[in-house]
Amino acid sequence: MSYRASRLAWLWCVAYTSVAPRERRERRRGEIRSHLWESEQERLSPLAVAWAAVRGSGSDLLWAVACGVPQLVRSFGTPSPYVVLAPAFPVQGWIVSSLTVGSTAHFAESLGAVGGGALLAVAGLIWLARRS
Amino acid sequence: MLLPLEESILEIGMRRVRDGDPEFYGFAMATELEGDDGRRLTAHGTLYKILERLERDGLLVSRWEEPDEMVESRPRRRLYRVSDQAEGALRRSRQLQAGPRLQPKLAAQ
Repeated sequence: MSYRASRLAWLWCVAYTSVAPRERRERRRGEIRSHLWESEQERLSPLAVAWAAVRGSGSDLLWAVACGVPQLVRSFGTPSPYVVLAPAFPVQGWIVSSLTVGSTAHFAESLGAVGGGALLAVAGLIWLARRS
Repeated sequence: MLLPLEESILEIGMRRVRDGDPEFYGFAMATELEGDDGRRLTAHGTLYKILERLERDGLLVSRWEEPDEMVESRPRRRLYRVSDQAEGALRRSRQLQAGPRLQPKLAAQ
């Protein structure tokens, strides 16, 4: 892809398809790769290529949500998301308690102390349940 | 009921069947939808989402281009063609669109 517009459209495609299941992701990427290549062969203006990508971006986002949400929901049946989210609790505790005082800071610290461990415990239980 | 863009895609697909060249790919469809100059392109996201939906609804069938059909250095194309159900679906959609416009006249009689 020699046009900067094509490269940007391709980057956008890689980004929004990254949440989709493999089969749908590869299909959409293959179609867009072909489309951008054909656009350049036909010597369409970079502006037309960019405009076509921009006008379709709303549909792209809806497509990504429709593809990605079921996958995200399914992933909560595995330990991975809990392990990934666990460090967020102590981090938010440090941030909020450094910026606030009183009951808010106390609540954030308590949540930070308990939340991460609780999520790791959930991850462990799911791992055990899937293993048995 | 089909969207106007869906109807246009099916119409073009059926015309291609009549012309003896039934298969089309996304870029070719985009240029046909935009008219002969083809300088603007139908929005990528809208076009491929609709092609996917029409296929899911059984109105299009698609396949990846085989290696022996490909020109070297060109990315392979996803080839579409209208299914046997497309003509009936298009006719029904047009009938449904025509229906509400007739109702006020019938009510006035």
